[in-house]
Amino acid sequence: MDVQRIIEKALESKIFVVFTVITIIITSSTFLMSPVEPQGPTLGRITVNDEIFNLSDYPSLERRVLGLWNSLREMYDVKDFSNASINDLSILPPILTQYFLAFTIYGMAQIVDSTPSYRSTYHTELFDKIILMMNSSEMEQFEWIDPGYSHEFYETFGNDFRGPTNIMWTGHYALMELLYYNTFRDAKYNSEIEWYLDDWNNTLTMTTTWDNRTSIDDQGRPLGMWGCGLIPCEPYIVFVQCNSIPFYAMRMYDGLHGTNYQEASLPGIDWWQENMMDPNGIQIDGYFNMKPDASEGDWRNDLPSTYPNPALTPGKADWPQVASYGSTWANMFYYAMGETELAINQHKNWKTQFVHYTTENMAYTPDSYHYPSNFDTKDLIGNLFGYFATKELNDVDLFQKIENWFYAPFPGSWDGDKYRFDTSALGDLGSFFDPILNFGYAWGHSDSTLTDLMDPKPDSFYSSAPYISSTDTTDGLFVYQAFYDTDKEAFIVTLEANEVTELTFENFPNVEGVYTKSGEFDSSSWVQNENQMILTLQPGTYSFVII
Amino acid sequence: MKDKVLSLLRVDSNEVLQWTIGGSLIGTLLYIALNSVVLPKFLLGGMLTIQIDLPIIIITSIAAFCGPLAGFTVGFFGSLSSDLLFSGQIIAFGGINIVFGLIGLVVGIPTYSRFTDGKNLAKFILLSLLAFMIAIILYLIVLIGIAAQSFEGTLLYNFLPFFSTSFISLILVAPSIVWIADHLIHYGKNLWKSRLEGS
Repeated sequence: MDVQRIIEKALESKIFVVFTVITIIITSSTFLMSPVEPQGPTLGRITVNDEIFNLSDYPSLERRVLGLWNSLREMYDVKDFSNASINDLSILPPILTQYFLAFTIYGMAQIVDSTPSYRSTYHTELFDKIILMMNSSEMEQFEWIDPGYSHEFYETFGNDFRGPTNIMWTGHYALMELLYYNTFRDAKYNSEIEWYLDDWNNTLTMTTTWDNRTSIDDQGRPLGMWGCGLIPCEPYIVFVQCNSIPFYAMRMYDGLHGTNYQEASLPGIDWWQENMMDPNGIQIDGYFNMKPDASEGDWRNDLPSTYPNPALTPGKADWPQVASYGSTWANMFYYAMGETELAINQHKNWKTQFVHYTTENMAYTPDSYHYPSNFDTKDLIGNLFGYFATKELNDVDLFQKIENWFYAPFPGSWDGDKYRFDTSALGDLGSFFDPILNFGYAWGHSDSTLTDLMDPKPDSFYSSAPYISSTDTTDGLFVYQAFYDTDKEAFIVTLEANEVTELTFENFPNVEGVYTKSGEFDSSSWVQNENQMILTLQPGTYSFVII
Repeated sequence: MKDKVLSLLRVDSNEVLQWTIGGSLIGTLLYIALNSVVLPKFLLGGMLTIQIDLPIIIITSIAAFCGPLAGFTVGFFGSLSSDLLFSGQIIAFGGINIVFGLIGLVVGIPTYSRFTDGKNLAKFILLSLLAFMIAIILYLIVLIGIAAQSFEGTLLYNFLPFFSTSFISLILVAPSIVWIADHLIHYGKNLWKSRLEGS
């Protein structure tokens, strides 16, 4: 039977012809319709004076992450700082807004840390804007006054609402400011940071009478104003995850300034392990150290019958409340602050109790392991933080499975230099989910971690080492790598310019030459301007070692 | 009765037994190999996934030529060993693997003669449709009932992608593949025969 005969026979069978045509159409359409995505460059090697620079040894960002950053910039539309706090909350998720602002900064700090020698207004404006929004009266109204609390209410506790009754807001706000200092070594927020650190320290190290006992633990250490070594979010409930933020901030500040704020956190860390663990070894989501006032008691459904006591799982009175988002949030920050053994153990327990594997390459977590997932906001946040925690703890396999699950229904696409995932498949929930899903991917794919941020570079890296301080345009500019290697005294940069772009390098006198993979780069493209070096690039993709 | 069952499973004589065992082995290995190939896909409205699912085509193709036992083996062991190999995870206590096994079992039950005959090809398509409908129902039951997933999450993240890729692959693509495979097998058989006669 020769080929011609087979073809003749094939054409005789109408079913075969019809189905083969359909097969060819579908197969080719999957190849044709899958968008061809522009990719970042492959990092190779550059040899300068017999010294080999392997570019992949240096941190780098993916093209998508930079495209997502550009979308974030457009979303926040950074133009008028005098007006930064007004009306802007409407572009954010309508609920849990304060967390979105805070965690966006935590992700951004990791992104900038991936190209640490590129620090310009392209980065700082976005930080400033978000910090201003967190501190806006709209945020205050939204977060505290609307649920029924007033300044008068807080005054009955003898403090302002941004004082020691509200670690959720103060913890996030101070860490956002501290990450600004950590990332840019700009001290403009430092006095506020120190005020909050002292306030926490004072709250945690005082001794009071609490629950008819003196607030001292077994080892004689003070348990602070609230008798548990932790600070509440509302005046009457403490959370492990919310307190992980100030505890992380204390250690970061100590690392930067040689102080010892972290000691005040130690009794609290022991306390929650003894008092806030459910029978399966999962952190309890909320412990009431006093009875809520009437306005909050009305809508809560997790109240214990006596106080102090853990919050309860609604409908399952025997079980303390647990939440996947709370456990994963706490685990990533405890890991990053150096409590690695504790975090690894808790992460293991979380995986056992919460994680569902739905296909061979997908996994997700419900909000509480006492119920199936009902696919609401808390479920989504649980998966987002599960995604972050698996990245932080380097659980590569589960990270990929959660990503596969999380992003499967949302096609991403490029619009110029902006990348965005389309969440319209989620319907109304999409508007809540859109900014979260988009910045989440950028966090997940940044080339740094919260743990890395705890290991600050020396001040000299910011004050005297070369860095890219400005560019004449950011349109179509993708800076994949920007790292000054202080040991080799070499600036590593990989970038893509889609317009003629001028880059200004600060602290870069006496440049010897700009080198590419194929030798020295055109010397007319750069000039020395005293302490600055100015490089002008035609559109194209470049990798340089600048000595 | 016993003879009927044995003949239904294609284990009643040496020759068909060879086909069953050979088909199971080759199919399972092919399933695992093709499972590691990532084909392009695109999303329709963010939910329906347009993609060719090669492994699932192997299940029904093997079932068509080697019968229900081989079809079940490829579906069940192929997917189970892929899961273990590629992710170290068994989903819903193997429930999903049984669903894949049943696709092969259902399609393999009737005996087909040559697939060049439109009648046989139509029979194969009808049986694939039946297997597909059984599979999507069981798939939902396993994920919601055994894996305790929510209905909304299962629908968005599992069901719609599974529904669209397996419909395209089983009902539209597999028939052409089977037709081509039929020719290849007969061509091979004839070649073998003429060689034997020649020597």
